[in-house]
Amino acid sequence: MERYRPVQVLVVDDSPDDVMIAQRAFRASRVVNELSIARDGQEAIDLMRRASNPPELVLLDIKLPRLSGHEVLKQVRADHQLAALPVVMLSASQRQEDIIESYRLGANSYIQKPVAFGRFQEILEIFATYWFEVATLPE
Amino acid sequence: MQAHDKPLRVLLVEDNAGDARLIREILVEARPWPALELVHAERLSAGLSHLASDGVNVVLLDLGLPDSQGLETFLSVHACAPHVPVVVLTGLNDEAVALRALHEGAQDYLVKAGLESDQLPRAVRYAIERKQAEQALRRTVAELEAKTSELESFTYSVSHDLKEPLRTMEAFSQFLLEDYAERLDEQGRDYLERMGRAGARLRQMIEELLVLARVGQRSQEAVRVDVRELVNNIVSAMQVAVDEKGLHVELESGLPAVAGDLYHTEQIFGNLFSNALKFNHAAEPLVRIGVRSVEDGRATFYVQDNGIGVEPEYHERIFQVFQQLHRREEYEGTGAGLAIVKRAAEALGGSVRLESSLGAGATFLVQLPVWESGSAASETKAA
Repeated sequence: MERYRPVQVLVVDDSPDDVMIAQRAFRASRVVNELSIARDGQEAIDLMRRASNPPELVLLDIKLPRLSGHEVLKQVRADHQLAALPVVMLSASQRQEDIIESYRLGANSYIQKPVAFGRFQEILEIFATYWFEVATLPE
Repeated sequence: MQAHDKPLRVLLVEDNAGDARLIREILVEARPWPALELVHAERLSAGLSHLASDGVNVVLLDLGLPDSQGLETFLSVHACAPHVPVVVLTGLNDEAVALRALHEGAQDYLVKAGLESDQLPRAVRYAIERKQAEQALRRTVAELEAKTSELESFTYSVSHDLKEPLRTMEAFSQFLLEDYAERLDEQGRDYLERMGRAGARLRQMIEELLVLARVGQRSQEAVRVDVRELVNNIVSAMQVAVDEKGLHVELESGLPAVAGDLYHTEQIFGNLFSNALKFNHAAEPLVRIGVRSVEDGRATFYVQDNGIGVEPEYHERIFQVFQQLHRREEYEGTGAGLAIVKRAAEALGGSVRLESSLGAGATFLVQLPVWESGSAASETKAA
């Protein structure tokens, strides 16, 4: 396999445990340059808009304090600068309404929070490869 | 019960003036209630408008009216006010029609010619009481159904929520094992492994509770499910395990299709097949699947193996969730499979039972509604 290009990833999740699990997966993966964490929806929006090093891939939970994941997604897609940003919903919800609403609002993918940690790392590598090796995004 | 201070309102729909007078006299004289109000209509149309506007407690209904005849008369009244008890009044030659009215929901019928003075008040009183009991029963059934469905969705959401902390526990015990295993002695690692196994087991139980909650929900509309094709798919999906065991599978040709849905039917045959595979140490392990009989629109399928079998005293218990007859290390699984089979069969309006004794293999008999084009859908709903 080709060498991965390092990627800026933003994880939006309010659970400290899940954040730690994500951080470990990133450390173990070969793809992440820097990982930023937002603990609620508003913080995520602020980070995406202000960061000097803006995220290239967002992993977004749905159940979040302040702005929900769906609200965040709506704002991202309406924002000229952020509209093409790959957003992967990462939620424990199996509800059809949540899944359909995510795609309706323009999520690139919907992933159920995996039970196994190894799977997390795998998902991350699949996405980084896809978004930064295979797909074409605007400059 | 009828409140005693409120007059009982009887609607009499009768076009024969003589009969009407007689009935009025009997009721007034007998006074089945302290206060009784008789409303009289000569035509069905007038009767229906009284029924729609007034608080009628019971209807005495002649089936032969100027504007309606026979069973139709009753059906119109019943459709207009299904909660009001109806006593049908009939002539000597019309008992057959009256019986059909009873079948359609009338509370009672009286032959007018032989009307005795105590017969009519008693019929009125009983009609009201029976109808009240019937409605109470109907309410109870509706409440029970609502509670059951609430419980299913409760089970579902609780099971789902339980996965979240479990996921965290599993992740961190795995990290502990990965990062600190060398710093632990053998006993420490053994403890950790035990935690890991218990976690995996808990996860499997939660997943099975989720399936159990889902199969408990009745399917909406029955569709045609081809059992032979379904079983073939199940066997292919487990092909590796089948080959490993050297299991011989015999699938009878000409299995009838069932009226149900794919998910429930798959749960039934998938779990039975995997049990037949798992609980089998015969030198030449064998599973036979076929149909034993088809009767009254229902087929009895069998899934027969030559495995370890089940003692008759446990035939009930094995259908309960998380019940296992063996020590945990002997067989994989949590013991939810047969509970899932039972619930899925019941959700399709069918049933499952077991014929077996220890060491003589097991035969599971599954009764399911057969798909008959056109009629099957409505039959399943009624079941």
